[in-house]
Amino acid sequence: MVNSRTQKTHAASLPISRATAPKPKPRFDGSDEKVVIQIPAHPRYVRVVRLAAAGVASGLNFSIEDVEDIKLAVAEACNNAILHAPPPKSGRLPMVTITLLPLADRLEMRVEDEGRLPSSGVPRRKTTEASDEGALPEGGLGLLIIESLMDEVQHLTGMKSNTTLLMVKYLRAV
Amino acid sequence: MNLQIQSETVDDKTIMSLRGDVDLGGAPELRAILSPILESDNPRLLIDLSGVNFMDSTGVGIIVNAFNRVREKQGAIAFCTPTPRVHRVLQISGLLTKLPLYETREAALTALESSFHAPPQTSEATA
Repeated sequence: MVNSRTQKTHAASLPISRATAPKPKPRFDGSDEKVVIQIPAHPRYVRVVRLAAAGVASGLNFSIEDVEDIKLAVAEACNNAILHAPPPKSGRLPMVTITLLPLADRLEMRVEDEGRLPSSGVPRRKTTEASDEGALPEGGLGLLIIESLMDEVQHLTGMKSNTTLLMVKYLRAV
Repeated sequence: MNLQIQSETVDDKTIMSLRGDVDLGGAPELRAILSPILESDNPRLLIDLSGVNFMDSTGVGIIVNAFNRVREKQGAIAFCTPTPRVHRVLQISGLLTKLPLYETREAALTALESSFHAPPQTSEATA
């Protein structure tokens, strides 16, 4: 059920601009390559995406710590897509599409679902402070983690109420 | 690596060791195993994190839920030996200094012995 493929494309990078200093040359120039993975919206498949993201990030010469951060961010994005996925139709789980676009100075990741976000958007924690009773807030951490780990994060809503989360991680100059 | 949960009772304390991925996929099993412990009176629980190689926000939420429920039950809870990845995710979540987190199992057990269920003042883990 997991479809993974590498395809050539002439699509431009995601529409995020940032001035960057010269970076070390990666082991491969990924300017015209992307990896597309499509998984059923079920937690058991998130690990497949994590491993794929780690493989692509390692190929770009990200540090071990950055690779781990990328794995966590992409897993959180997939979790959100799965948790907010519409119910199965005729026994078929909705799909989540993950696109990994390695570029010379960064890795761009796109996680697109078939779901419909609640009108309030993805739940987001506003504080980690304890309540007056001393209880710590338990949910809404996913986006906070993604935004902490990634250099760029964008939310897009599609024509069919599908949601796309764009994330960018830049290579650090050595 | 799928989540593996090993639990033992020593005196009145439950010591739970987690190995593998504490993520959305492993969450139902972990919640199910924790539930009777957290529903008992005055639970005393140590969760050893030394075998956790991946934890996402779902895992963090389970840990925080356990902390909150043990407090409600006037029990005691401690977490010990976080791996660097667990340390990182707790740091990002702003929870590193708010949870009773200890560098060694011995320190965590000592805290449980004294029924200490407030966050430690100085024992922030540095894994």
